[in-house]
Amino acid sequence: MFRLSEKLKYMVLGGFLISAGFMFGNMNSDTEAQFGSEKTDKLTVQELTVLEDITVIADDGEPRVVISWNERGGQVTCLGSGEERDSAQASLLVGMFGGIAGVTSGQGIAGASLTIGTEGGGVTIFPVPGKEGGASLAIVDGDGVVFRRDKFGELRSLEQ
Amino acid sequence: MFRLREKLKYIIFMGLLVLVGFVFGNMNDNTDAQSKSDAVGKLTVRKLTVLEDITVIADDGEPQVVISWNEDGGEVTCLGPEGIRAADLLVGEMGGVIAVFGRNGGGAGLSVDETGGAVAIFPVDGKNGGAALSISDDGDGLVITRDRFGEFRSWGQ
Repeated sequence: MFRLSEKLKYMVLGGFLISAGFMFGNMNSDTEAQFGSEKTDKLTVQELTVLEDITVIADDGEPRVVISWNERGGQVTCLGSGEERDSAQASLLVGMFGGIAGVTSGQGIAGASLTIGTEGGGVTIFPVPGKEGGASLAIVDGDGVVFRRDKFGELRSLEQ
Repeated sequence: MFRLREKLKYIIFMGLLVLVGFVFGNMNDNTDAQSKSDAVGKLTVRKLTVLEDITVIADDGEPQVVISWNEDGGEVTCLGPEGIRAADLLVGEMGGVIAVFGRNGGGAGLSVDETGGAVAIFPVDGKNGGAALSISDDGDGLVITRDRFGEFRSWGQ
């Protein structure tokens, strides 16, 4: 048997060691959060900063929404699901002259867009593959113009 | 001075205590992460992957932006007061859709149908006017307007 003071001393030391172990355990976890990959069921954040991109993934593992950026600016893209809508998209992005909002069909080419050109905004619709028709609103030489293109590919403005 | 055997016993005991503390520290953190709900003041991540949805909530607790998906594809929705849909970016049955909606009805949208892209504007509630760019079944580009009396006019058909 050793003395009570010795016992107490070692108990206090034991308490310190538990605290040290607890802190060490949490420090280790913080390191993982900064450099690794964590998975959480539900997360509520006051302010979220993402340095590269955000991807929302469906049950099949395919991306459905991607928020990213490139040298021109930010981009938000909604992607279609399944073979029929494989290339269907709805996007907001920044192009050479400014913002672009665009939609495409499952076949890819057909779609509609809002764009900015050298003279101002523009609206254009595109046909499905193998067709020629289309229409647009544009500004040409300062005048607002409505264009339509018929099934033969002839381009006409509304005033003509 | 107490005996060496006693010392060793307490050294082993202290080692166990450190181990218990370490395990407890990690268990505590895991409990937060798996539990289903973490609350963080400010978070910076390089890449974020979300399996279901993202909701941006205003100070009053109402959702303002919802990023989600359904069987057709992804969807980003901006909501106005009282949860009214104000702007949508999504993939629907035929393809992409971008639409904006007014508080009193009315709206505008880019969409895709069987013949190609389409643009349409709709009036506020109680009015009839509107306009659209569309492509006919024959493949002609169309410009369509509807006047205040609900009469349609089209160019290209």
